[in-house]
Amino acid sequence: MSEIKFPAEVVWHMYEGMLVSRMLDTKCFNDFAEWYPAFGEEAVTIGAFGSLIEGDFAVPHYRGSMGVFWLRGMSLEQIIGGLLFKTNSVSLGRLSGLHGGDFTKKIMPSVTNVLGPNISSGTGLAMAEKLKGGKGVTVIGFGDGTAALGTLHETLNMAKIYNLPVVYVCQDNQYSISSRSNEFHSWDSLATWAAGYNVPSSRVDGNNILAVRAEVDAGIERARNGGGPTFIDALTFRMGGHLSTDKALYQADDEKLTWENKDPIKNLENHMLNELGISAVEASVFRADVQSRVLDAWAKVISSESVTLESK
Amino acid sequence: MSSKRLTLREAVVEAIDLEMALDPTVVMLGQDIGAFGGPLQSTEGLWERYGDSRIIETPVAEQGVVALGIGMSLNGLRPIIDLMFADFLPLVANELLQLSANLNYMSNGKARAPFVLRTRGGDGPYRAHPQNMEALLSNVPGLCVVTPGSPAAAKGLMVAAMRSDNPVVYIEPIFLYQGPKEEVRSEQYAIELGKAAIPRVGTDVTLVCYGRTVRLMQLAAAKLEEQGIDCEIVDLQTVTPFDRAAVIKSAEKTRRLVVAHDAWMNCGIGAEIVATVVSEVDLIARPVRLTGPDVPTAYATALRDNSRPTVDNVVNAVTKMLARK
Ligand SMILES: Cc1ncc(C[n+]2csc(CCOP(=O)(O)OP(=O)(O)O)c2C)c(N)n1
Ligand SMILES: [Mg+2]
Repeated sequence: MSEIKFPAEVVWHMYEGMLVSRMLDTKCFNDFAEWYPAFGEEAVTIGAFGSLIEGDFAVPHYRGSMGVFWLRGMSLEQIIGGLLFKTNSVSLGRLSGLHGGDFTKKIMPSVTNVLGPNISSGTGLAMAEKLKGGKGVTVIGFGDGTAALGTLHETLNMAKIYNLPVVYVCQDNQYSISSRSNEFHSWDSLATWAAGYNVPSSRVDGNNILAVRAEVDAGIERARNGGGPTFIDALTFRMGGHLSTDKALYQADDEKLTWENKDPIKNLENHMLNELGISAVEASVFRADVQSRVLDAWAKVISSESVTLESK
Repeated sequence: MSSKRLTLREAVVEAIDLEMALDPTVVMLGQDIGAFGGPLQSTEGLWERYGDSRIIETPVAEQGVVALGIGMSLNGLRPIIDLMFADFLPLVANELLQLSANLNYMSNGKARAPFVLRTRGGDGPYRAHPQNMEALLSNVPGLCVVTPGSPAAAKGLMVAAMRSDNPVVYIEPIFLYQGPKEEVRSEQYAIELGKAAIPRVGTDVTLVCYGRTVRLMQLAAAKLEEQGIDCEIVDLQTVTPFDRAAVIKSAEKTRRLVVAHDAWMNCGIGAEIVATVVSEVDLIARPVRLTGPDVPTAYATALRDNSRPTVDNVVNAVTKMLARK
């Protein structure tokens, strides 16, 4: 799948992250009337946030955020507790699961579902880090539709003039609800917009986690060494509707098929089989193990205490 | 005279449809309002009828889009700006409050902005965007804020909004969006802005409401009637500027006042109603405000569902008020 090589344990960890994300999404998609799955976008979320270390900040996009929560060390129980509005979740059950990042683990929660403010306030985290002389880097994810908001443009300009340690990753699934990105944005790639602010920018295959991770790693290194912001447009595809009830009739059949064949999880499995000599049996045992951990955690959490107005 | 049973959503769409057929200057701007049929099906069928030149889809760029719409309205068109949800009103507050609200007065009537900003607010079956932002827009003079409480009102108020020569923010209550249905006259008709409706005439207590709480008050009034209590319901329809004369007149008659809205209490519409009434009318009981609690609106259904005023809240408030005589 690519020339890019990562150590086997890093690859296994990527694989695990993508599976956790996919399986949580599948469960939520089946159980909840209102759910916004990141099917097909896992290489972007897990690739972009996989290299962060302690002291770094993660500001994930809402879609696929749970994979990022897991990467940053939130337990499956905590994540599922958020999904089910349980008092033992980080928000005491107040926030929806996909918005409820644990700030003590340096994950920015989404306390408004208005798109945009987290891009700029996330950049503020990076600004403070720089002023304090810290080494932390901030990675900020957002959607292609969100990129049309003025706040991204104001922020890119400031990130550049203040030379901030931040990596912007557009989770470019080519849609904002029913609107096709290429009809509503005057870009060839979103990276060309960022280049207009003199921010080093590139487009990457967002269904290839190795490519995403390598590109983000370069950005993180630049940021850590005082080189300022980086912008990455990770091109991927929203496999399905905006939310559970949306049948995505506006996506063309051949378009759907093309991208289904580029499923990022299958991509990585092929790499593991072909390049790392992992057997299909090993992979499927691993998958089953992740699945049972997710379902076990779910079963454990479901009977725990739900939030009420009296919860403190 | 023909009529049809419509949901509130269908009534709004019908109003827009008929007006677009009558008036070629009416156009619409918004996200996903084309073939997709609009957020919560709020533009169903319009794109098929009026096409890309009048149903204009936009990027996710609300601030720019609202200002664009204001500019269009200054140059001969009557745009309807579809803001997906009322949660986004703070995002476009500058354009609404400092540009559109000021235009008429500051230009001495020379620059008028006849646009409608329609949006969907409050909790409801669709759980994603539950907040109520009407009070935020009501503190600044120059804007008209409308919230219908029934399908028939929704149609007439939308028509009046589209025909108004000044900016109107039209908030569609999500809670009532897909039902219950009501008979709605098929011809085009307008309900005057700034005028309340009295859907129930009574003598014992004045129940002031708008949007979802109109239905709430009706259900409560029916229960109270069983106890021999005769309620008068004042549906504001236009939240700002509200119909002071109608509210005062009703309160003078009943001398008891309950206001209910889903929005927060602090500096809310209820405060304004109560202040207005107590400074004009000698009430015989302390007025009551029933509102959402002054805490951020959580996502958890258990929290939200217990944060809205209920029929029982109204019934209890009224019976207590009358017991105190
Ligand atoms: C400012 C703002 N406008 C509109 C919305 C409604 N909305 C919710 S998700 C969404 C899609 C945004 O598209 P994108 O940024 O590409 O993210 P994706 O859903 O594709 O992951 C929209 C428009 C919002 N939440 N905030
Ligand atoms: Mg998108």
